[in-house]
Amino acid sequence: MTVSKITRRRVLAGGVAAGLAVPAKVLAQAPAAETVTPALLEAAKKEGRVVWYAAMDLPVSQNVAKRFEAKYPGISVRIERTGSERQFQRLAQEYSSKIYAADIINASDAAHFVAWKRNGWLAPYVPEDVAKFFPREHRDADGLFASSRIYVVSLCYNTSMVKPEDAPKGFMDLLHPKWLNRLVKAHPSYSGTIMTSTYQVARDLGWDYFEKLAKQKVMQVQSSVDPPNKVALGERAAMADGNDFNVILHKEAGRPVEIVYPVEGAPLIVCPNAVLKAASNPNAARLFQSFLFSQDGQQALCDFAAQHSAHPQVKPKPGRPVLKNIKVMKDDPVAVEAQAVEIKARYQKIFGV
Amino acid sequence: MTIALPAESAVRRRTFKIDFSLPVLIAFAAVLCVLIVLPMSWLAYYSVVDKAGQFTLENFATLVTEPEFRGPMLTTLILATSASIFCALAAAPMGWLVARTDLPFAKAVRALVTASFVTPPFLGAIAWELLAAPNSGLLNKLYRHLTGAEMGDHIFNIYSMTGLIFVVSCYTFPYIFVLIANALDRIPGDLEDASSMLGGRTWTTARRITIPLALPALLAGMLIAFLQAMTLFGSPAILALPAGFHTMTTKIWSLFQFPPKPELAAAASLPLLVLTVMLLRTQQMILGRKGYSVVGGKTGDPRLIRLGIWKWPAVAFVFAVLMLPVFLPYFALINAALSPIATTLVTPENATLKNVWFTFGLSSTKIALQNTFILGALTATLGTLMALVIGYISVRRAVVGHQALGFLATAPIAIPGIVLGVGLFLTYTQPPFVLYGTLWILLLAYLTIELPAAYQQLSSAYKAVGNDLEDASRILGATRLQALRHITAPLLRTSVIATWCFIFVATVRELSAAIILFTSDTRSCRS
Amino acid sequence: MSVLIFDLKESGDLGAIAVLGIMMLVLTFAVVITINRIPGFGAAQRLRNT
Repeated sequence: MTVSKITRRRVLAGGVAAGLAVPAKVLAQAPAAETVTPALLEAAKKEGRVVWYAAMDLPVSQNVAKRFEAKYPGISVRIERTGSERQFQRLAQEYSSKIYAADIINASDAAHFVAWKRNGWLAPYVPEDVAKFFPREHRDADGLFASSRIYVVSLCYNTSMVKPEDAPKGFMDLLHPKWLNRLVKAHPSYSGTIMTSTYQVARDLGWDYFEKLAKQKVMQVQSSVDPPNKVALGERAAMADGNDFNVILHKEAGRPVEIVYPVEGAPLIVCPNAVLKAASNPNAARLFQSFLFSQDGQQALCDFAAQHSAHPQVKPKPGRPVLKNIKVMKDDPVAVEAQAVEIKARYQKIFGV
Repeated sequence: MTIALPAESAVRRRTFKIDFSLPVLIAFAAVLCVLIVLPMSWLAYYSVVDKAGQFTLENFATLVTEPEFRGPMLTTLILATSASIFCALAAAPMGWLVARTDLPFAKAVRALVTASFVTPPFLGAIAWELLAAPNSGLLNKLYRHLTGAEMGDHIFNIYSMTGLIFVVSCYTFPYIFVLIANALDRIPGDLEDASSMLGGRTWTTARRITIPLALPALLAGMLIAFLQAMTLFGSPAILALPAGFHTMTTKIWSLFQFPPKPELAAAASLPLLVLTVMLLRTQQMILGRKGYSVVGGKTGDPRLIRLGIWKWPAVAFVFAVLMLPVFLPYFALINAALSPIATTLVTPENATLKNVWFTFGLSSTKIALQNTFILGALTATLGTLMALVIGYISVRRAVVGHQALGFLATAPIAIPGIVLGVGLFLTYTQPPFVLYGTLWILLLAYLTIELPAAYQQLSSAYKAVGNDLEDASRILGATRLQALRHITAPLLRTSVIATWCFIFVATVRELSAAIILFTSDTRSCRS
Repeated sequence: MSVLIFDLKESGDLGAIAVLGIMMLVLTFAVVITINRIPGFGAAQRLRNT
């Protein structure tokens, strides 16, 4: 008796789920958009915490976490921050040892999501705002991830060390002998941002550019957050690559830096965020994903971190660069994914580290 | 009759007691094997297979033929050699001044050397970045301010081979200092008195008696400095990479970035291992031949040489040396903590607690503090215990094969923390021992890494105590363990405390194995 | 903690590193001094030197 009852219930439930799934599939080729229901909130509160593997620099990710915790008291966010390329290796290492610590994941190398999707590690989850507002190129067709933030790689110089007329206009200007010993750049084996930009620059300007750049005795740091720091400190006069938003933030804080969007085009960095299928806190993870992609979440992220959103209703802060006015290079996660190993090897050969 | 009775009863009592010595000794030997042999076997295995698990010597061929490996190898040799020479140049005179002369503030000097010893080398490297980065470094700014030199001119460039050697020396010289100072402390005044009674003047005595007696300690210290500099990871990672070169340790570490190449890393670590074993053998030969161990325990205090007018230059020299690993870096760190911009001097107007609040606001800070403390205390306690037993076994030749135990306990010194991290990673991610992702794997790593130093400290302490007293107690009917507890242990107390502190400090500053082994769960599993 | 400092170093967060580093040093000094001050241990020193 009991057995048949359960079976019937299951069948019914399955029928309802299937009934919902069919139109969704027809419309968007993706799971239906999900709102934050009281049930989700309740389950998330029960979990009480969420672990975010984020390749976002700490001040930014910490800010997002603090706002989430303020909105949903009782759920704490633990951030594990490291560079995307490091994080990619670490997640693979942990998964092969059957450690599923991460609930949600963010990377600045969109190619990683291609790999993780292929491995079947990502959970389908489409927050309401993503379904309603996000343009097609900023959400995965199967609803596994969406672009959480957008920025570009730029150049910059220290205004107390370089006169504006001497400032580089683009990548090629950095090859002038006057920049010997005066440049700093980040590393594609650590930073997903730099991995992505190395691909785009090598594709558009050729590896030849990097070979000549290496002769300038560039100071090699790890994270793409660091070159703007080094220029702001006055340790190096200009940066050959790094996050444009850190330069903007330094400038707003009164440091002597000036941003330069290279004439050749600025490498475009799109950072997806996803819920992991093996998450230990699946509900809190979904709640966080919804929060991150909500209009408020995106607006606050952009305001705090001087970045751009794929959410069309997010307004850029007055006085900051607008993405569509910046000449960008084209991003291509699939190609980066295919060439990642080769790019790293080649880069190491050229720069020696 | 009445006299013989107690003796007879003692003999009878003795036969009823079970001697637990042997099982205890065997258990420790087994633990040591698991701790060291297991990861090393995996490492050796990985060094001779390819990705598919087939036997190959390809990894070693790559090592020898590829310039990307030959360069770091040469760099590492230069680094280790120069660092050990510089350390000796600074530490030997300092050790002598502190131990054998009436140098003022000798106690303070010892404390400050301890301070530089407990400073993690990577922290020192970061502090020196703040001080001597070519453009933003405080010292270079000062230089430009004083001389009015142009922007871009600098006297120090920490991002260079010289800079790296300098910083590594700063935090390696305590090893030599401590060994020399201890050796000189132990030389009894009688020998020197004898020398002067026979007409030797102060400097003759120093040359003929003191220096030869301290020489083995100097050589041993230089060797340890060499090994330390060779296997150091943190400082090169911070200073060499920005300068665009690798040492062996950073190269090995880079082999674990995606796509990971554990086979090559294993192969790359073997030359370090071989070199270390050779050096340690050499050290044993030197020390073995010059068996100047001072005979007899109760002797006069060392006779202090009067420095006279050289007193103040000597003080100036010692404190000038200590500026480099202690005063300047600590100042730079405190400055950076309170300043809005790390390399701008703090003034009462611009001082800020922003950094402090930010750091304490991080979700990871509290967990990291907690785990550091737990791991440090656990490793120190367990490590001291193990070193006590193993030291005992090998010094007293307690079981057959004690040489092997001594060797095993010393072997990890040859293994860069990072390589050991990999060995442990390979060992403890698969059955039967799955420890990856827990604090235990870090505990194992730290134990293994700190064992050699602990073992050496305690075994030399055993040697110093001598075994006559212990033998006496055993003749009187005590078991080995009883003799250990009642006779040897009390005599060893000071060394045990020193070893405990030593391991604790070393655990807190360990970076290289942790960087491979930690997972986010490792940081949180106690919370 | 060393790992945390190293992570921060890679993104060049010098202020936070300095704070953590000082904390680490203070912790180390505190432990070493405490252990050396434990009464029974201080006595051991005398025992050996007599």
